[in-house]
Amino acid sequence: MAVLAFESSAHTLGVGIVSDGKVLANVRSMYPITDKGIVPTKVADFHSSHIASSVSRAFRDSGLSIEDIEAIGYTKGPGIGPCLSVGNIAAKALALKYGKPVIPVNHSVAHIEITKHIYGFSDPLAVYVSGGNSQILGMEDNPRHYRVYGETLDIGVGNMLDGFARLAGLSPAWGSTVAKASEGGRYIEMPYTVKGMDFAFTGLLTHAEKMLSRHSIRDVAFSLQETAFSMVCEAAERALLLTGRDSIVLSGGVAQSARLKEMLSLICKDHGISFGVAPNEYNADNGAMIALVAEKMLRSGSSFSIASCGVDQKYRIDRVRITW
Amino acid sequence: MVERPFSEGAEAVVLKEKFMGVDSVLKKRNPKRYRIKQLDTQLRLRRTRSEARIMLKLLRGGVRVPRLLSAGRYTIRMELIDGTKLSDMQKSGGIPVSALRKSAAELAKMHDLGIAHGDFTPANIFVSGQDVFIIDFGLSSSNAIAEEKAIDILLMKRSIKPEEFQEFLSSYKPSGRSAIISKLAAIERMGRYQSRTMDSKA
Repeated sequence: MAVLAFESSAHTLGVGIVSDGKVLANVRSMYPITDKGIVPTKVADFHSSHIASSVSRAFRDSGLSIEDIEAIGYTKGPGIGPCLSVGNIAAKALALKYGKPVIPVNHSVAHIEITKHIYGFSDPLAVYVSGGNSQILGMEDNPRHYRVYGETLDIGVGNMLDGFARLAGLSPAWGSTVAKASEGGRYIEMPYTVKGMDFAFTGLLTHAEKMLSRHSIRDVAFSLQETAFSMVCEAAERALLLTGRDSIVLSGGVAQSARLKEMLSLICKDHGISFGVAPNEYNADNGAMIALVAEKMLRSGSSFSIASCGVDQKYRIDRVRITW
Repeated sequence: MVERPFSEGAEAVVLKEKFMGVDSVLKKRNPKRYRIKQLDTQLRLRRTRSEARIMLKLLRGGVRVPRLLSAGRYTIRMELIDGTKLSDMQKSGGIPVSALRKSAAELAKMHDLGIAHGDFTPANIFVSGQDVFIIDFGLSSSNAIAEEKAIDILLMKRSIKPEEFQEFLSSYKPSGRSAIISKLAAIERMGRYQSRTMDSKA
């Protein structure tokens, strides 16, 4: 038996199928981002128009049919309301039509769990960096949950990089474009805000915007990226030393950054611990990670009434009880 | 002189050494190879300089901090405080009420001097005999605004038990520091903090 799940928290629509922790399908379609960024209702329309064909493809890729599906998972949050609703409605519609249970999954938990799953780590420190989120976490007991040791006090590092790309006229406006623009850049001083294990990015973005009139895009992009990632790494290293773990996982959309991977792997080497970062298809938003967690929830006995399955744009990871 | 690592933080290595016959600790900000050199040097230099200045200011203002013995570009030497960290007390039976009260009194004195600690957690507070000492001023700021001071209190609130925090807060004398306390309430109302720790209803 297998679990099928929908991911639709932001610009990517994902449909994944997982059976006993094995990914059998991971279909993804991404809303074409323009200089206007993400327009929620337009993205929701994009997801709606692609969802039926994505499900068909997931069945084709896995060689399974609806009879093989034991439960339907979906992303409850955090994310963008209208986008989340598409996956939520699709999950409930399938569940009602075919009489399957529905399982609401926290998006942040899924990013971290799939990386742990790939590497077989049991209790790593997690560095979760995406558009809307940037957190340093670890699992704690009584009750079992992910505790947030530190996090951004304002915006996520991904949204900060996207925002900078738009200000600098870089297209497409996301992190890898900023990374490319920064190649060969020289460092100019930027505000560096770390408060214990928390950090903040808006001051950095405002300063970078001002610097654009005096310095090259390359130098500003380079300094911005180095400063932002150094802040995250310092907070992660502090959390590592305070909580004493034997591994670090790097997850979320910004985990695709080659520079951030390099920096965190150096920290792990210096402390003699293991480092894990998933292949990019699992760091970008995807349905497989949602199906993986939905299956874990199902196997550990969680069940939900369809009426209680909604969406929650601000569904914080530390409110999720971990049952496996 | 034998170097023996005493503790290691994200920022610095602390070595215990004899200095002119006295027990001292040397706090060394070593390079971090994950950062580019310019940023690394700038951060280590700025924090060492700022920490030494703030320690002097606190000593002169009567706040209990280790005495400064010498300072270099990336090093600060200070007297060794022979005591127990509040964070270690937490692990073995809890923090005594007197230590909570004295920590709050030291923090209040610090705030009255215009200084916010920046990382005010039980790991940075020592109990030695009858006294409480505050350490680690690498993230501190002088001329701090109410928000920075409020974050000191928030960090403590998140690190200790609710009943311990009540004891702490009453000795901080919130009535005389209403701007800071109302800022604390404002920060806690911000979305990101609302469910920072999981409650029993979740």
